[in-house]
Amino acid sequence: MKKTLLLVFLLLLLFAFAACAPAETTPPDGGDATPESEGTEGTEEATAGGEKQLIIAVNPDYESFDPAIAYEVYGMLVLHACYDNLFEFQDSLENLALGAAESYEVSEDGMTYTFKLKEGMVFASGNPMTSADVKWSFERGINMKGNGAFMGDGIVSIETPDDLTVVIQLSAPDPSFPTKLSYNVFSIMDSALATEHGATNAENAAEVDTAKTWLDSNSAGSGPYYIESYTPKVEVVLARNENYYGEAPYYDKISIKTVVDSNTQVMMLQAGDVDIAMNVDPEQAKSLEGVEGIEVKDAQSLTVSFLLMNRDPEVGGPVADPTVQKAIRLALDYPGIQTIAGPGMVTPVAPFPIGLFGSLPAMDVSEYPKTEEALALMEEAGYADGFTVDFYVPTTIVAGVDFSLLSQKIQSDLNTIGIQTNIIPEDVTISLETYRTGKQPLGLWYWNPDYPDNNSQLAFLPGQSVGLRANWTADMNPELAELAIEAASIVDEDAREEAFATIQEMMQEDTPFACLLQHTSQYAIDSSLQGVEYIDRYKFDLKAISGE
Amino acid sequence: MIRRLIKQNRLFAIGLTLCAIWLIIAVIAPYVVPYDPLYQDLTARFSSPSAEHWFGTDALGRDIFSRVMTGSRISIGAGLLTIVFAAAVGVIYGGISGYAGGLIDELMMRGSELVQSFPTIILAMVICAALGPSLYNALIAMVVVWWPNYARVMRSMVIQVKSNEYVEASKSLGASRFRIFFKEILPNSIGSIVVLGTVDFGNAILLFAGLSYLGLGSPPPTPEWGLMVSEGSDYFQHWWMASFPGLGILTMSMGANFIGDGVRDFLDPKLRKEL
Repeated sequence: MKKTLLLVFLLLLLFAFAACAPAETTPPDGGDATPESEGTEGTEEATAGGEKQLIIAVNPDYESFDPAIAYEVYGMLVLHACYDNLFEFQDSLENLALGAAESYEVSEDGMTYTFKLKEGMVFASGNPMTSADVKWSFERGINMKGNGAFMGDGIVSIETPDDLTVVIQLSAPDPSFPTKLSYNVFSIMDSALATEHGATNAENAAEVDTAKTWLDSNSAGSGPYYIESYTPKVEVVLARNENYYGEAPYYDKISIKTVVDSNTQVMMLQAGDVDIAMNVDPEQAKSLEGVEGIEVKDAQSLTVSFLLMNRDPEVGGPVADPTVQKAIRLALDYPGIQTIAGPGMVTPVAPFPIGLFGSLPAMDVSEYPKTEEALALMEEAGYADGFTVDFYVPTTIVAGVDFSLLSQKIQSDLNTIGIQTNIIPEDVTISLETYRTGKQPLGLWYWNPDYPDNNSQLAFLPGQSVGLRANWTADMNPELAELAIEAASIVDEDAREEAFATIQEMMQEDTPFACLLQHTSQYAIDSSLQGVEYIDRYKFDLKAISGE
Repeated sequence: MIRRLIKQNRLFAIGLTLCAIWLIIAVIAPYVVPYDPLYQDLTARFSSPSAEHWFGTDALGRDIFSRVMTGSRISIGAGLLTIVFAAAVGVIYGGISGYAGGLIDELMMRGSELVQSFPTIILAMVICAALGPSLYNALIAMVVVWWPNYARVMRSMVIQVKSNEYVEASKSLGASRFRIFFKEILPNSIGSIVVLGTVDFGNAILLFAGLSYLGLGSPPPTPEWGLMVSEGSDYFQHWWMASFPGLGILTMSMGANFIGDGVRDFLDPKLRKEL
């Protein structure tokens, strides 16, 4: 009898213990239980050997540090510290400045870019950087056919008249080209070093290049840091590049630790085990207010969450009706959705994030939900009695917003106009499949621009990649479809702004998407740190951070 | 018997009380809960326990008291259904195996061991994940991992009973195998199955809560205890979100376990001596 009692209690204890662990995990000890690693013994700047180290806790998604392949949200946090690009963002997304290039010129027709490289640049290995490296890296980036390779689609040729000059010829004018060049596909690699480890820029690089394994735990760039080691799911260690051309960064080493659970991240910050906790959810942010030595900061992202409503009647059923879709957009309680998501949230009128050139100001949500109007539209569409539909939700947390929670809010909003939804929670990787092939009648999704320029948002238009995920084909709205193609290559700023405004106004009338949120998340830092600025593209510019 | 048990065994009495309370709550819940368990009130998010919301509210401002009460229906239902179906499958499977004997017995038992060789929760998770998360799939998964216990007990009982004289007598009177199985063997072996079922009930509730904690049970917004604990564990600072549904799981499974232990001790004289 006693034994069983003990067993019951043990079981319950076990359960209670499980309840405290993060919901979807790699083992919870991913970050906090590595007592022998250098991180814990030397937390702040004062390490044994006087080495200055910065420790960051993140819940990262990176899979590879090969600049030609990496395409994950957190990839550039590491890559930007290790590689230089022709263009880079400094301090904020509004300031696109020259990186490895000294100067550049654009031809009259906007199709030829001529870059002059900075003189005397060297890679971390000591090899000098020449225009040949730039050409080689760009070609490899394109030929590796990674997820980001499409950004090189417009490039016709790359020429190198001399060691410091690169001439790039485009097939059509592209106002977003400089922005694209800041992406890691166009990071400048040490071609000699990379070739030694199996890299190639050949046409068939995607098949014959064998450098990925090496590049995952090493880097071949000229940035302020280089990758010293990478242990997947544990940490990335960056060490200072002594050959860096610019001002030497403050820290000797930066350790980016994988800590999946945000509660754990905050606890580690409070204990002084880490200097930055990247993923702090809104509720925790509140509890950290006023804590001495800790500062909570806002991270304005370009990530937009939206509701996808399929246009194909075979998939969407009643949802495919544009009138119903409009009703759904009216019925959503945007102020409530913003409340759930936390402080600092805005709702764009169309999937064009606030902060990018050409985006309209955020939606005035105070009037919503417009249930009466929505009900009238439902009646007009012939669904006064409502209907039931499957609602696909990936189990994920986007910038601190739990999609499971958000979906339950939407479910209750749709309920008010008679639409019953069956929430189907799915693992992201599984759900992506049906989302990308346009098989979800109703889906909750998020989108992070491939590059911080509204050209990347044109994917939401009819006939374009995201539009087609809702089966929104070009013939359903030929005018918008036409505009999507036109707007992509307008170089003149005024004309461009006007085109984007027209698109967004038209999309308020007709679109299979309901924009829900543009995310702002919170992160917390040790308040003695300086120069910590959030730049959505990189997360942080690591070289700018210092301890004094 | 029950009265004697209650007198002799305190824990059994406690278990019985707990289960009785939950059973009553499960029956009357929809009529007495103060709020609709799905009603969202965003102005009252994360309210701590108060006179208005006895157990506080969750991230969407839903009343946790109402949700925990309503959730008992699902937990008890899931536990009962699992046991009943697992026992049904196990009794038939084990009965055939034990009664037939020989090669058939060997083969069938190896089959059940195949299922048992996996850790229960892992196998249940695999099945749930493969079928997709829903209440019914979680039940199917639980029955699949649970029936071998019953099959094994049933088989050993059948083997024991079938050598009894009254079975022989029935056989010599010319009764069919079918008749012997249902009239003589089954009634004499079913007792242990009932005991096992009682003991298992608490575990079934725990397993179900575990599955739904992992997101493999009923999808949101169902007020399911495991799911509520999982939602609440994201918010440490709001302790009531995970604590109250957790308390539900604790009292329910503990009560069921006490009853199970009591019944087993009563029926099994060997164990009773230990006390």
